[in-house]
Amino acid sequence: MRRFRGLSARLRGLLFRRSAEREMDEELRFHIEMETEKNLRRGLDPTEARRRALVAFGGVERHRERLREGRALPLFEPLWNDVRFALRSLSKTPGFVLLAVLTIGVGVGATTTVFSTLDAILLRPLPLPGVEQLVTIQESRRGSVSISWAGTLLPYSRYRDYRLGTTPVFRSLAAHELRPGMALRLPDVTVSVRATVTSGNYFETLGVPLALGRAYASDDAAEIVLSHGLWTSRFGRDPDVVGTAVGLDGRSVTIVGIAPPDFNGATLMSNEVWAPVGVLGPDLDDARVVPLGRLRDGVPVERATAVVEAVGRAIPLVDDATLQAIRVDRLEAFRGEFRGMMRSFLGMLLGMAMLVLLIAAANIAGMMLARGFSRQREIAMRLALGAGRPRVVRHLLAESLLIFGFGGLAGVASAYIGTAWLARIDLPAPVPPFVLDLTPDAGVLAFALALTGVTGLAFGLAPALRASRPELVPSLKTGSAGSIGGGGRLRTLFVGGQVALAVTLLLMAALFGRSLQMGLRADLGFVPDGVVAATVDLGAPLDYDVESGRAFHQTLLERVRTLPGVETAALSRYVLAAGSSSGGNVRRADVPDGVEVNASYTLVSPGYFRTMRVELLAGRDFTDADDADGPPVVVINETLAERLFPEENPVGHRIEGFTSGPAEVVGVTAPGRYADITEDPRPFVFVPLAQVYRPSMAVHARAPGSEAATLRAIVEEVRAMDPDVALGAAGPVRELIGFSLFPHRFAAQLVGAFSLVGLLLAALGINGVLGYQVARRTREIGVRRALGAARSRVVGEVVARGAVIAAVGCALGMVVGAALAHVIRGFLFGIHPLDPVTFTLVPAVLFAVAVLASTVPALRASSVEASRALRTD
Amino acid sequence: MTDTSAQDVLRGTLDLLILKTLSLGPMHGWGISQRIQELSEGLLDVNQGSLYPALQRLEHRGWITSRWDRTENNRRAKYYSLTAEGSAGFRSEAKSWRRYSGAVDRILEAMA
Repeated sequence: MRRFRGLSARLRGLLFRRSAEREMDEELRFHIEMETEKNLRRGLDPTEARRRALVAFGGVERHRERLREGRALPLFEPLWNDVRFALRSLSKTPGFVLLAVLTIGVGVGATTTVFSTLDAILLRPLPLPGVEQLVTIQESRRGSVSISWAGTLLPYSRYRDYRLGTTPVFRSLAAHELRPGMALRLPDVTVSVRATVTSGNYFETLGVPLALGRAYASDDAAEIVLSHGLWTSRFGRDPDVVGTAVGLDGRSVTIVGIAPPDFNGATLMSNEVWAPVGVLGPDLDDARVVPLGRLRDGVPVERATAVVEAVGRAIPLVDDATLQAIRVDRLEAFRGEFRGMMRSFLGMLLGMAMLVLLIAAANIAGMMLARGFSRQREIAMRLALGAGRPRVVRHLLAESLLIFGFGGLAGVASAYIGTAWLARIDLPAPVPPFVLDLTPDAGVLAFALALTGVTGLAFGLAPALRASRPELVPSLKTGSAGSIGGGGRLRTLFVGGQVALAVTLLLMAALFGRSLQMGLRADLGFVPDGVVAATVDLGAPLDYDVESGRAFHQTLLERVRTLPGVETAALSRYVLAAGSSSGGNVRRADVPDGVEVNASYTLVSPGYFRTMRVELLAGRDFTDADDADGPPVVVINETLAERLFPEENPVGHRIEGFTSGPAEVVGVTAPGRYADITEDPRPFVFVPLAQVYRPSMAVHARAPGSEAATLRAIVEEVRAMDPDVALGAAGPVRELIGFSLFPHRFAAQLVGAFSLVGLLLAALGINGVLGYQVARRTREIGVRRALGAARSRVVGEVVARGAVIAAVGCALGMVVGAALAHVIRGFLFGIHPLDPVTFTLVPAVLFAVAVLASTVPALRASSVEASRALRTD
Repeated sequence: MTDTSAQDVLRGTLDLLILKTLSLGPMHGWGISQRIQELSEGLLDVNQGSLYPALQRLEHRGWITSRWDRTENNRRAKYYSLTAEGSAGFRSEAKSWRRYSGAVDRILEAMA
């Protein structure tokens, strides 16, 4: 309190300088006048009375100055002086300042860019009005559980019961679920759209008015809403589109509204169509949705949870699941596993970016140290003239902070560039495009500011403290630091640290690079190059039964086989290693109560193994005879063969699992990758599709050299056969499977870029510290050269010094790197975290670069001419 | 070093005198200097110039506050008065001054 009052008086003094000045003058004038009057009363003449009053006061101007000083905040005004002084002394070395600012800019820019991404994906609330009132009901269940990007899916009937029972706490309770790849049939063309199916009150719950028209009337109305983007790209913003009849997955629906621009629903994945859950099928109860509600005003989440839990427990479960917990969570763009994955991946990248910043900061600290030493004379002079050490430290610190400040600004600017670059990166095919605003916002800027301030203080303080403690007498006596050897130790430490951090970063980048390399080189068990695939789904609500569906698949396959450029073609339930799979347990039919093995499977047509170049180790391919009328057969992979038939040839034995009744094993394939490239070896079963019908099939065509044309032709064929059928994932198989390596590729590129910056900075650091030492020892070297020291010896000494720093740094970096490698091992593939190739090559490269960096100053040292060196000093 | 401590003692004394004066009631700067002179029966002459920095210092410490008011002759003057903290501070400062000066007295007497 007392302190505050004093402070407020000072603040007033600082802020209202004019009026404070006026008050002071008035007070002093009053004093002089009173004193003069007193003197007058004592009988002095007016001039003398005033003169004596002034004398008694003793130098008005001097006292005014003292009062002014006392008025100022003790911190601010000198601080401003420090800043001015620092600006002045920095402006004498613009080159140094530019380099330093750029260095910090790179560090802060890298960190801010990554943080901005993390912020946009994980921290920023969804851009919806009153988003803090939006919550989702999440059930933890055991048994048959479907989880989508939004959380646990509930049967529609359950959602409806929640909606009826929770009106005391929810203003409205909506439901939603993402359906990428619905077929939107427009008058001229059928396109696959990313759709969200929702309850009728979805827009009302989110509190978003439509840009045009209205929302659909009910949960099962035959009406849809288009995104502003789709309306623009497909209809050129024609307002008459509202009211038009179109087809969605084979059902006739009317476009009743257009969503506002930038509205994307409760997700960050871009969405094109919103439709009532009713479009999924005639029976609403078949639908699975995630409830999404808006709390009534003033209802806390805890109360909502209590009500929702009571309601949820009372609703009988219709599916064979047991309810474990019911939670009400705030709405987030991503949930559960996906969120965790994103968090650890982005957190890891943020850590890497911070290493860049650390290297940059260590570099600046080294530079500031050198600067401090080269200014020893000036500093010694100021100390000798009576400037307090705190004052000198403050001034030096102000220089550091200014450099960091400008660097921070440069960093924020480069973060804008960095995020713009990131926003343009194409995500791999199965990931729907995101609608992310990566532009740094206030939170990100605050982060950058805090980051800059903290590093600036941390790395500015040591050089400032060190430089403010010069050896006074010799500095003043000799003028330049001709013979003093010390002081370089702290700087050597900084450079060593830089090398260590650069090694660490380079190790991480190399580990990601090696993972990518292993992934690309991985034996997939098939050859993806030259093959294109496209998925057609004849499922509900399209009107296909087993017969007509099979006929459609067969006809499509035959037409694709005759396309020009196609060597072979086949059908399969899934594109292997492209992210999807189904599975279950299989066991031998001839061993009662035998071991059960969890395996994945796909359905394939004859010719699939040839098309995908899957190697058959034993047995045969499927034939046209392996149809619904023939005996059930399967082909298994070697991994499953080893588990079920460790000592025998599995061909001819029968297994149970994916087929109706036991199926005879007719072939064994080499092991491969089935759901994604980075998976562990897994047991796998191929089932002839003629014996099990699934409405969704991927047609695969090997057409080396004409992939794009073949893909286009397949799209044409499908449209010609039935315009209501939409194509799912379609593309070259190499691209379709690329997603599983996306994190490795992305991390390798980004961390690779980071580590190159780190490497460059470390090289600059070594070059700088040695160059500086050489410059300081010019005289000594000159003397030794004059006494006959060989040029090679001088070079060798300097390089050896650099090599020692590099060696120590490399060793340290390897230790840190080894620790970090274990932290990131979840992101690695196909290599040990302590991959010997990486851990030998990287330090070797860095060591070589460091030695190279130290040859420049070494050569300069060797070219010191004895006579000149002695004369200059 | 000796220089500063001597000044400190002086400064401390001046503060004490100001506080004592203000404990009698609010007063403006010139009035304070006059009162000190009167109370010390002319023995102590306050360096008028250092009075104002001392007042400023005490105000920053929160021991006194100031406001503008009218004198008997209806002139605007800045009046200082003690805060609650100020009077508590004054009492303890006065106590420690008495202890200090008493100690100095005893030493001087012993040496005489």
